[in-house]
Amino acid sequence: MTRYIFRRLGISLLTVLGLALVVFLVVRILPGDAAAARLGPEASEADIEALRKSYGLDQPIIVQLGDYLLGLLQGDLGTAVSTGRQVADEMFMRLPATLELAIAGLIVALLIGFPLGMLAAAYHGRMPDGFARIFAVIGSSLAPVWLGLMLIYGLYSVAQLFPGPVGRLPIGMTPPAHVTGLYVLDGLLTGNPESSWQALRYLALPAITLGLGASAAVLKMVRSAMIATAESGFVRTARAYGVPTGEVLWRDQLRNAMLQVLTAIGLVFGFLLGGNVVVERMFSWPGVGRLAFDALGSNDLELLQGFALIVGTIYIVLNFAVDLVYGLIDPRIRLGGKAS
Amino acid sequence: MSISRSRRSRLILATGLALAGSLIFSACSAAAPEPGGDDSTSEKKPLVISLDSSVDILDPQQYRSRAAMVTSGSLVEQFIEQKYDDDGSARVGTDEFENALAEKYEYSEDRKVLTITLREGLTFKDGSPLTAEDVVWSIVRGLEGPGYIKVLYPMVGLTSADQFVALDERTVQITANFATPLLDKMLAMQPFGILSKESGEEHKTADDPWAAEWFRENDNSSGPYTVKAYDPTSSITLAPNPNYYDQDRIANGGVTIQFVSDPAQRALLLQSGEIDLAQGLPLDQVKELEKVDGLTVVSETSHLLQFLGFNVEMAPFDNPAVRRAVAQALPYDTFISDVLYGYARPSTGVVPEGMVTHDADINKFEQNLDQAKKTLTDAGVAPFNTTLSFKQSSAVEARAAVYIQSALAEIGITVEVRPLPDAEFTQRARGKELPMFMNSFLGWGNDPFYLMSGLLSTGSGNNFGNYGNAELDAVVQTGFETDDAGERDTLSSAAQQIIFDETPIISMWNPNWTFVVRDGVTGITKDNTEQLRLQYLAKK
Repeated sequence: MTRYIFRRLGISLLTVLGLALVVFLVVRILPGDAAAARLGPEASEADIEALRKSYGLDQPIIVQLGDYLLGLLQGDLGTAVSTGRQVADEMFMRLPATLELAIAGLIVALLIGFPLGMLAAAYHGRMPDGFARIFAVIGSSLAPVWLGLMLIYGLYSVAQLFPGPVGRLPIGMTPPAHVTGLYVLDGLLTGNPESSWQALRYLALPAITLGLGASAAVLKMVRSAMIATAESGFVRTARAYGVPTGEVLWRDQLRNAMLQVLTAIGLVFGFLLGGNVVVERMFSWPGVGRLAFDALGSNDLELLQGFALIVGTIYIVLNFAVDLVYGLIDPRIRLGGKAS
Repeated sequence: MSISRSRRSRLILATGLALAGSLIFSACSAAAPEPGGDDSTSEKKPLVISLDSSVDILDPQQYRSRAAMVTSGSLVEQFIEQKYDDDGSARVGTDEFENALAEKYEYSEDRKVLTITLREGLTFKDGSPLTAEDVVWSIVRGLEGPGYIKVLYPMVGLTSADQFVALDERTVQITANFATPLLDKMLAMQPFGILSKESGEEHKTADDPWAAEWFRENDNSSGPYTVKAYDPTSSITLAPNPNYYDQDRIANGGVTIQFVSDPAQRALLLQSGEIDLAQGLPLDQVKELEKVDGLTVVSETSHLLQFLGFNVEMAPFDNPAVRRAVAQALPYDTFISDVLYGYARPSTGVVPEGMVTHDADINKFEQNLDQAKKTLTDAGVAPFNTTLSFKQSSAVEARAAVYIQSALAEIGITVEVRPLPDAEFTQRARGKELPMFMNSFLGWGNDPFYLMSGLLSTGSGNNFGNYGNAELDAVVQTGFETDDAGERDTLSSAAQQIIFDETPIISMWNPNWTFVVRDGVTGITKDNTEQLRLQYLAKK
């Protein structure tokens, strides 16, 4: 198992390095001069040149790359040209909001996708399966931007059931003392349940917007994985021995389908982390997605790099964690196939 | 104690469902606290507003976004303040001024030396005295420090730090290279508000001698507000500054600026009453909101100039006749009715009607397609293809581009509409790479020479069309350096005529300064930088 962990860790680190290189090169292909954009048209060429120089943008690209990688090793992601703040500060100021939204979106996706997927597998080829498949098609087709607008209009503006798209808390409410940056959790940890309550209320609509679409992916993966295990010998044997259907479903089919399902969850969480730019903008959610959207407009290369790198790294860490869980679930993986 | 696997699974499922239930139930339950918190019972009520951008920086000399300009302008006070007209739906700044931090200010006979005496007992938010040293430090910081307002100084004959002297604790002397009425206007602008020298000295470093880092996120206010809470990601709450020199000027109990990036959501929040004022809404939506009970649209004329620019060194736009033909083909009235939904006025020239020295006798372009075709034919120009670039963030320009494309097709010009990311537009415009482009420009201080110089003087930062005319440069510079109103009129008319004749840009329209507010919100005030002044806002 130790060898397995180190091998996966090595691959993950190499992937992070590759990601850093790709991100660095890609953002430099984008047209636009961040220094000119920051200073505005009134600024003189001398001021723009001075700003370029101070950010190292006047250096050859290879020198910039060297400085960038050296900075990364020291935890320095550079300075955001558009705001003048450290990129790491900008990102970590907003990352908890994105994480909280992604986690809530994942919970919604799992709570809808898991039971529906299991139901579809249990009634494979029958009416509940048909309904689940229709739900999956609709869920996959729903663009978050459309769904979000409909939810805001219907549930906030018309029905007044949900709070408005003003971010993480009601206007004027002080956030709970910082522990994790996740307001729902921090409110509970610091004895401020009202904050948690309000944070949950404001989290609901964006989480549903994100989670509903993602639930289709979970549903399809759970369904297909469980149908596949239903055909296996151990399930047929269990049924032949008269083991109750529910127990076969939960104990045998689900557990054996978990490898594929875990992969799906990892992918979905990665998607929720990096793909929520539109939802964050729509709900004024102060996360890294909205920051990336603004950075694109102002051509802030440093911020865009930071966004791509941090979200990508989280994705890699997530995959590493999933790999580890694979090892725990399936002895054939941790033992390198010796168990078979 | 052992739990069977099936029971454990059911427990996990039940916990999950409970979490989801709480998420939905919590969202649907008890209403949020009253915006503005516990201040809502005071006589002066707090307001919640949402502008077209977020507040990125609190330093009045470094801000980038419009919301940051409004905010940082509320954290400083100037020597003098504009007087405002109350005639329309909003209070609009005039060309007259009154004392603010100054007890008196006097010009020398040649109007080159300005002596300002500060009021007695002025203090910053932290209680430290506001003295002439702070004034000099702030103005010199503007000239030599981290911001970009230094480009304004030469326009009023200020080029070096030794032109600002603290004569004693309360007296400042400013000696300009020439006399100009623009000096008053500039000194009344927020970027010329007074910062605390003591705070600057305390937080400066070897790499940051003007404490740019500290002022970016902190304040020691000399203005009507102090920062009560600031989260750069979501909102800023401003509370009245108890040390402000004139509490009667603050008409509300504080202002929260909520950062709502999607304008459609801003409109919904306004309708639901969560915010009191919204800016930057799509104009079609503003039109719809006019019909909504409880909301009022405030739309005042503005001097912001929307224009079509040409690179005058690129063929065929190097031929003035071609530029004139384009000007004769544009559908000016359609712009107002179909693109701007009536929230604009057709341009009345580069110096718009209402701005001092506007010359109504100079011809204006009107759509006449036959005339436009003839102009092109007479110039011997065959049908040609070109591109029209603009910032893709501007929905108005995107819509106008379609009408321009259609109108120019009528006279044989095939236009490829090319929206560009904002940063790319700025870069390519500065690089003089765009043959035809749309842009807008505001001459701060309601000053015609600032406007014409900024747009069209040789080498000016906003002169994206490579235009250069020594005669125009000389007339504009003389206008800057002239204090006599009659002479300024003459010079400005001459400049306006040159611009009309050569048509390096086509003035298309002046968009209105438009806000939507809840009924009962009053005191909407536009200053001479066309920004909202927060301290005059009030809520019944």
